[in-house]
Parts: sequence; C-alpha cells; structure tokens
Amino acid sequence: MEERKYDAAELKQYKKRSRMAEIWRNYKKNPSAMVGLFIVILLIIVTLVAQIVYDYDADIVTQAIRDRFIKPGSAGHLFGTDQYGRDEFTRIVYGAKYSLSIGFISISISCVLGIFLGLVAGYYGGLIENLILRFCEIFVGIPSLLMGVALMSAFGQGLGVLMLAIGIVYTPLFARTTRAAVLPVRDAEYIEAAKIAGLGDFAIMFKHVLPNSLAPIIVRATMGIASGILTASSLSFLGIGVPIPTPEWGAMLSEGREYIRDYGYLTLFPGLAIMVTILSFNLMGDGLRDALDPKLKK
Amino acid sequence: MDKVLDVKNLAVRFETEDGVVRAVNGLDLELGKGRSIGLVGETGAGKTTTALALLRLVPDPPGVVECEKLELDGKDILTMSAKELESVRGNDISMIFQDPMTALNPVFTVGEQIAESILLHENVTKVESMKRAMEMLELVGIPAERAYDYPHEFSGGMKQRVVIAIALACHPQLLIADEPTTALDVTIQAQVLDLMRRLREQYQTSLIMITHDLGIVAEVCDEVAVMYAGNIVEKGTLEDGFNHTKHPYTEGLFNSLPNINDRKAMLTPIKGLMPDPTHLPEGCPFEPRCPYAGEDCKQPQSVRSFNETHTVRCSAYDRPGFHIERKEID
Amino acid sequence: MLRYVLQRLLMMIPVLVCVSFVVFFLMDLAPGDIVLQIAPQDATPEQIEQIREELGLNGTVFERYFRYLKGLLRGDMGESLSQKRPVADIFFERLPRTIELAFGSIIVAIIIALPLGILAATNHRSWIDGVSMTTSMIGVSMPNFWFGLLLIMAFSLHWKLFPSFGADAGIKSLILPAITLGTEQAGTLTRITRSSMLEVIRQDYLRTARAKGVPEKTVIRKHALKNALIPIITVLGSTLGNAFGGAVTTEAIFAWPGVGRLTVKAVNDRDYTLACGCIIMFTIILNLTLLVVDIAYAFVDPRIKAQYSK
Repeated sequence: MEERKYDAAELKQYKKRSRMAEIWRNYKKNPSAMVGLFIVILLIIVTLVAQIVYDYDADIVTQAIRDRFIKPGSAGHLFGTDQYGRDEFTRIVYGAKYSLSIGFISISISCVLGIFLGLVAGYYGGLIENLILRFCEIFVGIPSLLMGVALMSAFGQGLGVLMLAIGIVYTPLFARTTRAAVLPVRDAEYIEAAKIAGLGDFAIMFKHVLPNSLAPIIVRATMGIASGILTASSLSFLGIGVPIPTPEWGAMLSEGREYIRDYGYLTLFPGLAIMVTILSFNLMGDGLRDALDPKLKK
Repeated sequence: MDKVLDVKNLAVRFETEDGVVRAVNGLDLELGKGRSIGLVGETGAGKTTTALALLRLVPDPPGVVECEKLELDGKDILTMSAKELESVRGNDISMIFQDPMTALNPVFTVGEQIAESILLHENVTKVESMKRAMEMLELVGIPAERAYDYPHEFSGGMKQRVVIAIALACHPQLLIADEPTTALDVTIQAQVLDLMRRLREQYQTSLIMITHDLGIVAEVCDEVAVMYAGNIVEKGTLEDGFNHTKHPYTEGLFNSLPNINDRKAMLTPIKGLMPDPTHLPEGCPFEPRCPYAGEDCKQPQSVRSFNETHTVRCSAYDRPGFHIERKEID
Repeated sequence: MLRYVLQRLLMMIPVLVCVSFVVFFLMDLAPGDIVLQIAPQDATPEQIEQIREELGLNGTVFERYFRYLKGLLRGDMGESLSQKRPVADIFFERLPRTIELAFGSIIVAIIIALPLGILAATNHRSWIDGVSMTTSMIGVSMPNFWFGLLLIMAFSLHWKLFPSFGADAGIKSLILPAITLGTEQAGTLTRITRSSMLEVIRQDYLRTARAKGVPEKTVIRKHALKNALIPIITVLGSTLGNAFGGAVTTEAIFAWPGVGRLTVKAVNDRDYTLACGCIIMFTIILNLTLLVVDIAYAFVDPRIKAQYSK
C-alpha cells in the first residue's frame, strides 16, 4: 500500500483547518451563541441592503410634517413616524450602520494600539512594562464615559472623532489583556528557540507570541464591540457623540425622549435596537470564550 | 452480634456525558459494634464512593445510588429525609477525608469548625460548644488555645488531627477514615494512626479504614475487605485475609509488597489495569489479569464462604482441588 | 496594616499628578475659549488679556499646569471659571446626592445579583442557570439610559408612583434612579457571583461540612458564600467606586443633581479647573474605595489578613 505523503505546507493547512473546525464545533453546541451570531450576520446584511435601498437625503433626514407622530403598526409605518414625520423603522434600519461601524472601527483602533502596547510590555518586561501598565491603570481608573466626554470635547464632535475617542478609551483594556496573554508564552521554549535562530524581536512578537495568545484577545474584542457601541450611544444620547439629524440610535433616543409622555415608542424602538445589537455581540463573545477554551467551561 | 452497619447490594453509578460509570456494583458489608474493618484496593476500586454512599453524600446528579438495605445501628438510612440525614451525619456516622490540606474551610477558625458539629447535634450553647471543641483539640494533641487559629496556620499533620477532632466531636458510632494518612509524612502517619486507635478504644467507635496500604490494615483493623472494580472480592478477619488468603487478587496485592526478609526477591506486580468502569465485563472483573483464569470465570461470580467469617468471590474454587500459590500460614 | 494603608495612600500621589496632567492637557486641546465667553462682547484685546491674567489663564499650558499643580499639592483645587466659586465647595455640595445614588444602586444590585448568581451556581447547567445567565446578559447589554426612560414611562407617567426627575421627594426620588443604575451593575455582579460560587462548590471542605451534618442551606450560605466573597467584593468595590464618579447617563435622565452631570457640564463649558477638580476628586474617591475593599478582604479571608500584617 502506498503511503500518502504530506508536505509541510499541506500539513500546516490541515492543522489550521482542524483547529478552526474544532472551535466551530464547540461554538455550534451553544444555542445562545448561535442566536448572537445569527443576529450579528443579519444586522450586517440589513446594513448593506439599507445603503442600497434607502437614500440618505430623501428617506432619512427629509421632514414631512404632515405625517408626524403616526402610530406604530400603521400602514407603511411599522414603527410609526417621529416628530418630523420621518419613518422610524427606516431610520433605525439605516442607523444600524453607525452603531456597527463605530463598534468595529473603534475596537479595531483599540485592538491595534492595545495589542502593540501589550506585546511590547509583555515581551520586554522591566521598565517598559511597568510604564505601560501604570499608564493603563490611570486610564482605566477614569470611567470610560467621562474619558469619552473629555476626549470628545478635546477633539470636537463627529463620527470620526467618536470612533477615535472610543478607540482610545478601550486601548488600555486590550493592552492589559494582551500582556496577560503574552506572559505565559513569553518564557516558552519555542520563543527561546526562535531567538537562538536569530529572529528579530518584532518578528518573534508577531509571528510566534501573538498567534499563541490570540484567544483571550478575540473574546475581549467581541465583547469590546458591545461596550464600544454602548459608550457611543451613551455619548450621542448625552448630545456629545454623533450630532442630529444623523439616525444614530443614541441620538434618536435622545430626540425621542422629548416626546416620552405621549409618544413613548420613539424612545422604545431605538433603545431596543441598541440592546439587541449589544446583546448579540455579548452572546457571541461568551460563546467564543467557551469555544476557544473548553477547559474554562467546567 | 450487634451490627452497627448492614449494607446489602449497594450499587452506585455516575451517569455522565461519556457513558455510565459503574463505581460500586452490588456490595455487601456488615460491621459489628466496636469492630474495625479495612477496605483495601487500588485507586478507582470504588472505596471512596462506597464511603460517600454510606453517608448518602454521593453527588446527585450525576450519581445514582441503589441499595437493598442500608442500615446504621438498625436505622434505615436509605429512606431518610434530608433533615433526618443531617442529624445522622457527624453524629452517628462521621468521615475523615483523604487530603487534610483541602478538607478544612479556610475562612473559619478550627475551633469554630469543630464547635459547629457539636452545636448542630447536641443541645449546647455556643460558648459550651467552643469549650468542648477546645477539649477535643487537647484530645488530639493540639493546645486548646490554638482553637482560635485558622487552618492555614497549621501543618498537614495538625490539620488531619483537627479533621479527626471534627469527626469524633459527637462520639459517632461509626467512623469512616478515607486514606487518612496518605497525604502525610511517614513519621506523622504513625502518630495519626496511633491517635486514631487510642480514640477508637476510648469511645468504642466502629471504624471503616479505607486504604491501599495492607500494613495499615494489619496495624489498625480487626477485619479486612478487599475491593476490586466496585465490589468486595474477599472479606474476613485479619487471620482469614492475611494468613488464609483465597482470592487471586488478594494474592496479587501481597505479591506486590516488598519483603524485608528476602530483599533479593523480585516484586511481582499485577499485570494490566483495572477494567474501564464504563464497560465492566459480565464475569469476574479480575479475569483478564488473573493468572488462574479459565472459561468458568466469564460467568457472573457468586460468593462462597470458607468459614463463618471468611467469604470470597471467585468461581475458580468450583474446580476440584483449586488453590492459589500463596501458602497458608497457621 | 497601618503601614500598608499609608503606603497605598502615598502611592495615590503620582497617580493624581498623572490624571490631572492628562485631563489638563485634553482640556487645553479643546477648541473654544472660556475667556471669550466671559468677557463682554465689546472688550478690547487688552481687556481680554487682562481677564485672562486675572483667571490665571495666561502663559503656556505647562506654566498653567505647574501653577495648578502647586495649588493642588497644597490641597487647593482653585476656583471654578464659570461659577466663580471654589471648586471644592461646588463639588462637595453635590457629592451627598451622588453617594446616595451610589449606595442605593449597589443595594439594588446586591439584592438582584447575589441570589441569582448563587441559584445559578447551585443549579449548574439546569434551566435555572440558563434563565439567570440570560437575565444577567440582558442586564449587561441594556443601555441604562433606555431602561431608565422605560421605568419613567411605566412608573412615573403611567402609574404615577415615583417622580420622574429631581431629588426632592426623598427616598421616592431615589428609587427609580437606583433601580436603573443597580440593574446595570447587577449583570456583572451576577456573573461573578456565579463563577466564584461554582469554583468554591467543588472544594473538599464543603464535603467536610456536609459530612458534619450541616444543612445544605447553611453549607451554601455560610461555608461556600464566605469563600466566594473575595471576587464578589472586588467587583462590588470597583462598581461602587465608579458610581461615586457619578453615573452620568442615569443622572442625566432623572435630572439627578450629582457630580457626574457636574463634570460633563464643566467639560462642555471648558471650565477646566472645575473639570479637573471633579475628575481628581473622583480618582481620589475611587482609590479610597479600592483601598477599603482591600482592607475588607482581610476580614473575609484570614490568609490575606496574615499577608497584610507581614
């Protein structure tokens, strides 16, 4: 019988795939995590479709005073209309784009900055590590919302600034998570071997240290998206995030609040949208944690 | 003979995701008042599970306990309510656990932990219970004033003394000691065993000593029961078990002990491993490792008596003239 | 123990210097000039410079920061630029309301989270566990400004049981804000209680307690809970500390006159002495709370107590 020969690249591919398959198998077992994943995918699809179907000027911000405060469930207005006669459902569907992009982009910023700081701190240790950790401690000591307020006031309002501010706010968390994940890897023998083989510090960090400490970072990132969305909508609600008339959910809620006495649905629906989105990311993060580290589940 | 413990056909299984683990399978056990029995066997033979079943402390789920009869001093433990069980545990029957390092609650003083038992079972005030706890400490050789110290301030041997004090605080009828000396230094082992023997005599407590060390059995017990794969394969007085060994497994245990008189003799370990408790064979569970195994061993085994006290679970004795190699000592 | 406390207090000083530095510079970056807001509209450039000097706003940002720091190290947080009163006075006027809300919310959180977390742990993997974990996940995910508004809709507008804003109706005013903030905190607390209890429930010493005949309820409430308290207290401490910083959104919804809204307003007004002062005070209170938590450990766990006295 002829033996099948694997070359190194094929083996590596096989190994990678089986690890992914195992994570996916574990993840699938968790129904609430699957619900989270399903909603997140649905949100992304809805966001993309909404960009094609709706026109920002015509459907989202144009006022139609004659149609104001139509009750939810009326023909053509599933969630009713707001104080300017704009369709609430359309605005919420369109607004998914803001929450999702804020969540993804700001957490990408904190991931990149945080992973870099955490890797450097964990890999080099000593004084650098101490400085970075102290710095993170100070940042974490200030509540994320107050920090966000301070950053927003320093750089001015707007979507881009909001993303950057939230990205900065959550950077220390990622730096700490990365460092904690790097520590056990730092002294592993294969790192020693890579050093002896003459690899540069950064090559070792990104090629050998990082991939072996990814699991907690991925979990933290998924949950971080949820926190980022929450902080962003809180800031918009306070009137210092995305300015109106952008249909950002927090801003919509803040507007709808004026009419809470008679038109409670203008408060109800945007908040519900925020909650469902955050809940899905949290459920995903929870599921990922269990799937990536089955030992923790017991 | 007054029986302090009477168990018939005890079975414990754990229903886990990976299958049903049969830890104890139809075990019978009787113990007379003031007597002591050594429960011997390898790790995984079901000794600790048996002990927990006697206290009705097998975690449920996944554990399921079935039994024909489970009586302690004539009281039926099997049908007791949770409340009745609580009044029996620590009062009529107590247990000393294997690892003293983890058996004590780190956030309460040792005095509190001894006194709690007394407070639960006897009609005393808090102050009295603490006084009694200090007396118990003195009894196990620890100065009374250390009652106010926390477990982390004691050494392993001292902790085991505290655990013994807790177990004996209410003078139980039956004490189950689960490898009480395994986690201790050899010198401390002897002290603890000596202490247990003394206290047992003083209070007339019956004892089940769970161990894998035949030496401890010889030193402390009146009777011996050898367990294998969730059942007792040989049971009798020390004389029966040590000098008139009948079961091939018991023989194997003796053969794997070093002999001080013949230090050049080779140790003969028992080959192979205990069968997987999720897939026990239908016949004798020792059959795959037994040097005397025959076709008849693949049938379910029955118990036979050699005298009033000595019983063995081995069907090989149905063969005419069968005997094991180990010589009987008279 | 005393030495440990002193050490911790001394360690706060560099942290405070750093925090004030960060906030001070962020405020300096902010566009908008408070002097232009304060000065009369027809003021000449010379008059504006004069006002700037009176307010201590002249010079580079470093000069101003060091002036501010000098005052700070003497315990003087300066005067609010917008209100013309000492920062300390304004802050401490508002603090009692914040403390009220912080403790109110923590009590709500404890009442919800401890039983829920313990039930989940003692019924691990049963439907009770599932329900309580889902509930806590919803609690973590719910924007509290939204939940607060829903409460207002139900309990103030519809049933008219509690006032919808302000702090003038005594305990009645406190209830809705405390529930709003408390539910948010309860989510995390439930999860920590559960995982910490799960860890303890496996321990041998619980079996010892059961073997003594301790009733199951006592095993859980006394033997297990006391051992599970350390992580619970840690989360409680940081939650409480953060609540002292003012729950900005909760205060905004209920028009609660606490320090959180004060801080946000100060930042928006570019009143940098007030903003800095608020954040510094907050950092001090947070650190003191965390210190109290560390001392509380010693009362729960004798092993930690032994470490402190070393």
